[in-house]
Amino acid sequence: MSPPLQIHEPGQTPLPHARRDLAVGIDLGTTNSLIAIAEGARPVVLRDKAGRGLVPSVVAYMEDRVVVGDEARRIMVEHPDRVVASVKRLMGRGAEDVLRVAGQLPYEVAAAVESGGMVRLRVGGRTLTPVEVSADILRAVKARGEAALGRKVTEAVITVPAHFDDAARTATKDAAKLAGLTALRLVNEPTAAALAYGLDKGAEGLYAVFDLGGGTFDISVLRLQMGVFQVLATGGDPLLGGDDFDQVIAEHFLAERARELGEAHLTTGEAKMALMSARLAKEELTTLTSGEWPIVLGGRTSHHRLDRAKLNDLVRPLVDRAIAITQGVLSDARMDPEDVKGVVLVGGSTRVPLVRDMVRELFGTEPLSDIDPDEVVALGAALQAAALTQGSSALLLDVTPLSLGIETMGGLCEKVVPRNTPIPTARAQEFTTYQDGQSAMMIHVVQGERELVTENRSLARFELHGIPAMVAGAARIRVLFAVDVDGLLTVSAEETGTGVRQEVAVKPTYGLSGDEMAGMLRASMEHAREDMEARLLAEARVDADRILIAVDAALRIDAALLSRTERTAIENQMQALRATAQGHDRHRIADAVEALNGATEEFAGRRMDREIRSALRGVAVSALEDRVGAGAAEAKK
Amino acid sequence: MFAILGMPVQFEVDAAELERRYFAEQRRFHPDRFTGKPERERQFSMQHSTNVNEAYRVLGDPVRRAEHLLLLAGQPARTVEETVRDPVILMRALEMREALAEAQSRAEIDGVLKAAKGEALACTAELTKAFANADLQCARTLTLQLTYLQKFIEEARERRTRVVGGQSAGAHS
Ligand SMILES: Nc1ncnc2c1ncn2[C@@H]1O[C@H](COP(=O)(O)OP(=O)(O)O)[C@@H](O)[C@H]1O
Ligand SMILES: [Mg+2]
Repeated sequence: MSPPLQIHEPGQTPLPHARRDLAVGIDLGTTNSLIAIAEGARPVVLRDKAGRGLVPSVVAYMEDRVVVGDEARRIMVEHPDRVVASVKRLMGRGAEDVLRVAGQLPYEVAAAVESGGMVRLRVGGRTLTPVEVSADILRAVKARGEAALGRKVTEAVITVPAHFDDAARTATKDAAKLAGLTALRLVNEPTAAALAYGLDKGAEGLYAVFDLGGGTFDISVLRLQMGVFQVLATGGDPLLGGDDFDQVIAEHFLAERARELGEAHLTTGEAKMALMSARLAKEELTTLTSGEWPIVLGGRTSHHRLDRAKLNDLVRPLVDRAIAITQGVLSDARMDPEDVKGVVLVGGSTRVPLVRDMVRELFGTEPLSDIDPDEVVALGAALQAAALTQGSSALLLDVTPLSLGIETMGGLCEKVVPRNTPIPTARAQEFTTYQDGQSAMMIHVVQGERELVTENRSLARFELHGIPAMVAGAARIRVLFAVDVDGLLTVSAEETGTGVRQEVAVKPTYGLSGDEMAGMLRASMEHAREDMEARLLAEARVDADRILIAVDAALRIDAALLSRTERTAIENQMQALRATAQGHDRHRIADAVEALNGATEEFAGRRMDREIRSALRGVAVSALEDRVGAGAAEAKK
Repeated sequence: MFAILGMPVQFEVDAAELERRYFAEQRRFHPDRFTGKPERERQFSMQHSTNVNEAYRVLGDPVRRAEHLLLLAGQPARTVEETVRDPVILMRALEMREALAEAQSRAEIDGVLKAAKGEALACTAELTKAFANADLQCARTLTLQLTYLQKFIEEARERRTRVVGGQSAGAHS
């Protein structure tokens, strides 16, 4: 009988990939990363044996191994120069960007970077891009997921700050690729949080998501309606988070220390130690109202008192910045704070009492944090992953966080796609030549809100060639911007009179070149080879176990079919296989399996003969073939 | 644009109906519904979802909707150069600018904002009439007026944000 004909409307297939593994959601955070999955209705965070969900986004580069997470954070105390933390702040950044914030970052930045390239870090004797460091974090998170699920994890929805620009998004996708993950989608962190929140609490209406983490700040305004999560406006600051709180506190402590001990210059490692004390003070002052914290450097200890009021003074300018950005985003959404029904708090830094107070004051309502602010983003990502691989009734409609435009005469930026445009989107704009007979035109793609190109972020440059000779202003160059659902941009340009065309997937100015990516992939393949070896060994052992059990069972039932010497020969081979399987050489294990197979061939043959003979008794000839097949399969087991 | 969302070709739009159709289309055709589908279907979904977004943007905004209707009627909307020659529009724009510049407190800005919103509403009502009467010349002028009003409201909102936010201006740095 043929299967019933299935007719679906496009996009309505209830279970598009019944056999596809459920994809996971990953929150790749500045400070902490998490992996979650949504089997059934409720998403859950995947934890290690000790029940820990958060993997600190900290990587230690030791002589012979790479360590990620809690252990790497411990290593930071003794070998600060081998450890990278908060690398997310550098994703998609150029060396120039980083030098601008130099001194604020506890890294040593590799000096010689060919201009325009991606920034590189010098750590533990290696030179690494932020993409590679992020890939190491993703590998660790993926491994945790695989251990918890007992299967391979290959597809994931990965979250990014809503205001991440094109370069940072591309860098995140590259990191996933290096870690052996297909990034099904990049989802904006606040949108993911809203999804988790809305689906769990059945929220409807206008909501704001206020996400203040370790390194980044995001604010989104969404409308939740009948399972549709429509982002109205979004904004944020890529360099505003708990790390900056730590920075101002550490500076305060170090100034005190300098007065006391007359110390001047700190090494990068020493700065990291001071930042750790500052962070401890900040976090403890969430519950305590005052306390005292030591800083130990070069064997000398200083003690620093801090109370909640002083902490508030220190961090207030930073919180003010977040509040001002929030007001701007509300205005973009054409909403007033009173219109918002609820404010969802996301990120560890929303635990700081001053942050809560100022959010409450702005919106005039008690902020919501009943889903763990540390986990809500990963849970939302897991829900979206399930929606993409298994179908869902919920739908996310997101927007572009930053305006996209082109450089025009005089270094001005002409916007083609304004910020907060729903995606996917495609917009075209016409430009013309400004010289007689001009045959090529440089197209410089920029992202940002400023009028001057130099104050925005340069995304890519390319040249449209082969424009036929015309007088200035006669050519019609149509530039098309297309932004996909990941927020990634493709630009194409065409001279409409003649159809001369050129297309570029925007290769970010601060991205990795194709060659660099290929080199890294090769290197990660080598790691993959080690992993593969381990897996093959495990498989060989499983094969060995399987045949030993089968032969053992057969001997117990049918030993009568064998002579004494035949039986001893088989038992000797079994003994040999057991011994080899203890070792680490999968080839030898495979050989021993083969040898045991050989030694039992005759035995298996006799068992099969007997099966067939008994099967033939009283069986119609037409069914014979089937039975023989079944018997053979049985004997092989 | 109207056809993409199955809306009648007219200036008046039932906002709730527009929303309902927009969500319904995206529910069916958004690229998230097509992961793992054949390339051709994915292409189609991307294209259609993009068009639906564009139609929603145009139909949901009175100025864009009016401009689109004028374009359909072969009477493209008036350009900025034409405005400079229209003393009535120009005068009113200057007056409002002045009022905003003079407003200092949040309450004062709110007052200016409220007046502008009232004017925009009245202008939209007149536009509806002009389109209903197929008076395209009148519609062109009103569309331009509404464009100015919208821009002004935008600016006033931004001003107000800055007043509320104290000295922390430049929300989108
Ligand atoms: N109890 C607390 N009080 C104040 N700050 C906290 C507390 N717990 C965590 N944080 C801060 O939250 C930040 C990490 O937040 P998280 O949401 O995990 O960051 P990210 O999303 O950037 O990875 C750090 O700066 C950390 O110091
Ligand atoms: Mg986060």
